[in-house]
This record gives sequence, structure tokens and C-alpha cells, in this order.
Amino acid sequence: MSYDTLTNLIDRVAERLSLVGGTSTQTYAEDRIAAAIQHKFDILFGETFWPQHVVWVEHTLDGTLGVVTADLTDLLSDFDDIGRIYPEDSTNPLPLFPHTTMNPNILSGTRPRFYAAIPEGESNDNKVFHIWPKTATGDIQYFFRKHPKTDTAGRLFLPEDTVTFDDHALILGSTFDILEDDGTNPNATQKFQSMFESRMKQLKRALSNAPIALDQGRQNILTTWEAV
Amino acid sequence: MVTVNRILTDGAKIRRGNLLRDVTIRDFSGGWNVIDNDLNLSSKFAKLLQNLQRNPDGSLSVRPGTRLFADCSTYLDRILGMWYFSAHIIAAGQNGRLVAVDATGIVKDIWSDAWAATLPGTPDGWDSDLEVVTATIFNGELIVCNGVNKPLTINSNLAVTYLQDLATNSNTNTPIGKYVRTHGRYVVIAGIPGALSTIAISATDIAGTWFGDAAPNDALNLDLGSRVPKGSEEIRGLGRFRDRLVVAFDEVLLPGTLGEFNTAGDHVPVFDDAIDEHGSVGHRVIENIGEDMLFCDTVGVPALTRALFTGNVRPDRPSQLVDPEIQKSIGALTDAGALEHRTHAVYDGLDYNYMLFIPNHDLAANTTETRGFIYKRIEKLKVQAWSEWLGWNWSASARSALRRVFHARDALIFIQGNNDDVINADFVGEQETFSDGTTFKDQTGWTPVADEDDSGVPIEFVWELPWSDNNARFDVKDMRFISFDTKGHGRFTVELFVDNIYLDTEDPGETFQDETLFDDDTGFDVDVLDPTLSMEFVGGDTGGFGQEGFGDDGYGGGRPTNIEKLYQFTARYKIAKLRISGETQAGGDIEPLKFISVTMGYLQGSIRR
Repeated sequence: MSYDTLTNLIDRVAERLSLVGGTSTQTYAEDRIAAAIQHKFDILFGETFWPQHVVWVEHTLDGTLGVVTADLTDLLSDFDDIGRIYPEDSTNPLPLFPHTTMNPNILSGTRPRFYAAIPEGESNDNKVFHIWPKTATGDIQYFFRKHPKTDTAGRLFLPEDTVTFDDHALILGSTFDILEDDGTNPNATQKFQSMFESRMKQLKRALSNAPIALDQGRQNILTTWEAV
Repeated sequence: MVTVNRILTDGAKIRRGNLLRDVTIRDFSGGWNVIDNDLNLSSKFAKLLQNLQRNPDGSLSVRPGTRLFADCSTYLDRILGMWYFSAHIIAAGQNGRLVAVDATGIVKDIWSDAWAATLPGTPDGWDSDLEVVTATIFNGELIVCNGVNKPLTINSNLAVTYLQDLATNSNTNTPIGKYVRTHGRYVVIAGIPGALSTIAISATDIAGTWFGDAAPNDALNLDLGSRVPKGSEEIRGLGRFRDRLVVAFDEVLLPGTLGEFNTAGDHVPVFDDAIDEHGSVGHRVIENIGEDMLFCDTVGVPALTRALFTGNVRPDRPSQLVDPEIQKSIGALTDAGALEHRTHAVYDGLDYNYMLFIPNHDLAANTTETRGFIYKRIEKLKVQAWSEWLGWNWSASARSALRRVFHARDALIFIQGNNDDVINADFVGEQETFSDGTTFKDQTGWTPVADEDDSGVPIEFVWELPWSDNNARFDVKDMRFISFDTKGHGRFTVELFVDNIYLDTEDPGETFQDETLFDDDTGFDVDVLDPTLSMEFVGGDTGGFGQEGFGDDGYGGGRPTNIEKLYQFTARYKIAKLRISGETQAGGDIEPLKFISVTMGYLQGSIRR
């Protein structure tokens, strides 16, 4: 897997589309190609937890609102990007709060039990998630996939930015996308679709190349009381 | 985990057919057309065709430029008339002087008060502050008239003298007139002060013998006023069409036959025909083109042709496609003298162009441009196309024996380029651009020039096609690609307008110099175009990355149009209009920019925009 800058990816897609190359040559194609690449990245970014995007952090809970005290602005902006949240010193991940079967207000104590999203527009929505019970204290350790442009409006790549996803997948997918939109040679369109899908399968198989530990957390002897 | 298919297409099937359509515009035969509504006009016509011309090979190319040929300012103030005679350009100045310019551009003074004083009888020269000077070649001599003084004659040695009766050496009876024309074996003079409806016809085969001179003499004066059925009886010009002398009035043409004699041996010209609704604004717009005589009246450019079977003279009006624009230019002149004397034409026999120039102001001093209406007609190739040539301010034009065309501005004479002597810029040798290649806002440059080879100002051109619906007026079209077949050098900008959106209606107009607007937040009324797409290209022969002049240092020469890869040009429309504009590349030995075809790839969609 190799990465490339958005500018180079645009040029490479333009080449596959038989467009005239060169910096700023394709006034009306470059934005279109960039949008296709951005779309492919964003969709594939959310597809799974790709190793190159996974980040572990440890943050302290505020003990009253159920949120972390750290500023997440440049780290995490989307609740869906959260992978697992662990109380400190625990290998049991917190479950999502079951809104339909439990009243969170009966929860008390300082031990984190569940986590839930903070809806957009609610107070502290920049914290993305909160912990039940809100009186939970201490640290939590969690991982999430960090979008490389979390700090940018719309999470849009700039021309000079390196797009951290497999360049072949992005190029093939974007080319297929634009070819389909242009209504040109259907065989070529199908070829790029197949090539894109093959590459994606390859990438996903690669995720399984390393040995996978089965339920690694259960191998340790419990030393604290936990809800199960 | 979801499948890859769902990521992008959710299992969508690829369509089986190629949906992209293409349309190529390669027929530009119609030329400039302002009479038809451009919402309903074939793409072979152009709504604007400025400084371009339709070529015999079917392409459009930028008009030729001009190069300084001679500077007559030592002798002349402003050139009023120019003629090719005896391997020289003879130019007449407003100050009543004449010069001869040889093939190398060397100017020789041939007529002035001082020259006149050397003649027998030491006559005066011509008056200054003339309005018009016309000339005709008769029997190896150039006869020149100005409407104020007695006519002059110039022999093949460029010796100038007053036109006079050779028997008496007197020009007492030689008529003073503004217009002179040779027809058959006669010299005809009209525009005679005090006898504005009269033509004076010389004696047979003799230019200097006129009515009243001693016998043998068959010269006569003929008042045609009573033969004019409508409009003014003042003669506006004299033309020649085959075997007919054509006397032009405001609204009437009188074709006549000279050389008819009665039994007493008197010359009896026959004017038994009158062509209504076809006249001429002046003498200087009348040009003979083989089978036709072209001229200009207040409606447009009429032509006289010969009827196929009867042989009679038949009027035609080839300018119908551009008449409104000609009328607009003529209507802007409120002074009859300006219209009559300063509107002029020349026929470029190499490019088959009848070139009509109409000044944009009554006063010569205030004139900034002579708008050129160019009519190209090649009968055998079925080429008939108008175009508009701008950026020039000519007071006179002439054509040499080798069909080179010369134009005059003030006291300067310029030679027009052609296929063998390509000139890609205007005023080469006289003006030059700023170091960045730009000019003043009026498209003029600095003068004098530092380097003649790199001098000249670029020629701006505009080609605007009519609205097009791709033969599916009701359907939405998604344009995807554009490509060109071009030759030559130079940059051009392609703009696409869609769905009748042509002007930017939100533009408040031009501000004052301090960038403020009127109290109602509007400015001066200036049309600002509102194209949906705009892209710059370069001609097919223009150098670029890796080519000579650019090398391989990463800098190219723009978007080349000589490669078969694609340029995306994306817009959605029901009707669209292309506008191509640019300017020539001045200097160097380069080919002029030439458009051969424009191709667009598009998808045709539903009726909903």
C-alpha cells in the first residue's frame, strides 16, 4: 500500500481517463476528480478500521458531565469513528448504552459503564461521546480511526495533502466513478470497476495477514469488579 | 462487513451502450450573420466574427496584420487617397501634396506648391485642407481630382502636371470635380461644384480635352438630374461595370453606355435605365470585382451583376446578413461629407475580400477606428461570408499590381500581410507592446519601436457561434468534453454560455474612476458577459513542454489543441453558445491561428433541467 498526494492522484486519474495532463490543465475535471477521490477515501475510511488510521488515546473523565476533559477538536469528530473504549486498567470494552432497555439515570458510581453519542447541537457536542454514569471518574483508554483531515472543515484534502489510503484503490475507484458518469465506453467502465473491487478485496485480505489474538482480554485474571 | 459493491454502486449495473454523443462544428461557410435570431441560427453562421476570416479551405483564421511600409509625414499631413501606379504607391495628402512611394518604401515628393511653380506659367499648387481626392488611370497616366482645384495628371515617370488640352496647353475647360473614373475610351468627371448632377465626359481617347476645348473635340457635359427618379440628384460616385458607366446617386443608380454617336458624329451617351433603391454613399466605396461591382449605400452593400440571359444589369444585395450593422455604422455619421468622402473600400484580390471601411466619427481628428466590413466571395468555391475587422483606422487603401493591399493612417502607409508574407500583428514597425505583451486599453502600443522584429500589437479576435440545442431543444444536455482542430500559433479563450444566460445581470456596471457607483448603486452601462465555462487553449502549432523555445523545464505553452487526449468541459444546458476569443502572438516567423473544427462530447438527458 502506498500513498500519494491529492494533486498526484488527480493527475493519475486524469491519465487513466485519457485527459490531457499537466498542472491546472483540466480546469473543469480537477475538481470533479478531486471530489471522486475524496468520496472514495471517505467511504473507504468508514468501511473498517484501517491500521493506518487507528489511534489510541487516554483521557480523563470530568466526573460530572461524563465527558473527557481533553479537547477532541483535532482528534475525533465523528462518533462512528470510535472503535473501543476501555476503562483504565481494563480489557473489557464499554458497551454502547442500550437506550431502549435501560434508564441511565438509575446508574450511579464512579466506574464507567457505558458510552453514548452526544447529539449535534447538545452541550459539549465537541466531546463527541459521553460516559454513563456521568459521575464516572478516572481515565478511559480508547482507540478510534483518526481522519487525516479532522481539523479541516468538511474533512477535505488539500492538493498538497497526502491521502492516506491505497493509491491504486483510490485511482481505480475514482476512474470507474467518472467513467460511469461520463457515459463513455461501458467495457472500460466495467474493467475499472472490476479492478477496483479486486484491489479492495486484496486490501481487506491483507488485514488478516497477521496472527489474530482471540478474545485477548479474557486471558487475564480479573482484579476489579466489572459489569458483565 | 459490507461488500465492496455497496461502497460505491450498491450493486448497480453498468449500462450497455455508449451514451456519450458528439457534435463537430466544421462548416463555417456562413460567416457573420446578424440578421437572423441566434436562437434559431445554423452553426455555420457566426453571431460575431471579429478579425477572423473564412478561408477557401473551410477554416477560420485570424485576419492578416499590417506592417509599416512608408512614412510620408515629411510631406503629407493626412493621406486622403492612395493608388498604385507605375510601380509606386501614389498618395495624396489633405494638404494638397502628392508623394510616390517605391517598392522599398522610399517616399518621393512629386507635387507641391514648389513643384507647381516649376511648371510653365508657374501655377499654384493645390489648396490645402482638402476633403477628398480621387484618381483613375487613363491611357498610361494617373488623373487625380480633388473637387477644389483643376485635376492633375501623372505620367509613368511620375512627372505631375495639370490635366490640360494638349492642343492649347490650357486647362481652362478641364472640369473641377471630386470624382473621376475611366470608362471605355473616356475619362468621366463628376461632383462638379455648381453642377452636382452633371458628368463631364472627355473627348474620345484624350484625357485633357473637355467640353469647350478646340476641335476636334467630342467631349460633352451631361446633366443627369432629370433622369433621377427619386432622392437627391447629386452624384455620389462613378462606377464601371463591364460596358456600362454607372453613375451613383443616393437612392438610384444610372447605368449608361458611352461611345454612342449620332449621325452628326456627336457623342450621345445612353442612360435609358435607372435602378431604384440602390445607391452609393460615395465614390470611394465602389469596387469592381470581375463580374460584379460592389459599393455601399445607406442600407448595406449592393452589387451589380449581369443577368444570365438578357445581359442586363441586375442589382443584388449580398450584405443582407449584416445590413443592420452597416446601417448602424453609417447612421452614426451625421455629416454627409464624412460619409461621402471618408468611407472607402478596397478589393483584396488575393484573399477575395471586398473591404469596406466606415469611420466611427464625423471628424477625422476624432476618428479612432474605421470599422471594416469584409465580404469574401469566391464564386467557384461557393464561398460567400462576411466578417468584421476591427482595430484599424484607415483613411485610404490601395492595391498593387501583385494584389498587395496597402492602407494609410495619418501620413503612414502600412502593407497588409497575406499567405506568402504572414504578418501576425498590427502596425509592425510602428508600435510595440509593453514588455509583458499587453497594449493600452485601445489596443494601441508604444511608438517608436525599439526592435522592429518584435514589434507590433496583437490582433484581438472574437468568434461567437449562435445558440445550439444539439438537435434536441427540449432535452437537457450534459457537456463532458471539448476538442479542437487548429493550426498555427496563438492563445484563445473558449467560453460556454448556457440557457440564454449571456450577460451578467448582477453586474452593477462600470464605476467612476474612484470606484464609486451612482446613488442607486448602479454604474455606467457596460455589458459584462456571464459564461458558465471558460478555458484557454493554444493553437495546434504552438510550442510547449519539451519543444523548442520552452525546453523541458516544466513550463509549457498552455493547453495544446494538437493532441487527441481529452479536455473536460462540463456544463448542463438545454441550449448553449460557444464564444472563442483571443489575440494573435506578435513577432517571429509563425503561422496565423486557424480554426478547422470544434468537437463537443455530451450526454443527452431528460426534459427536466
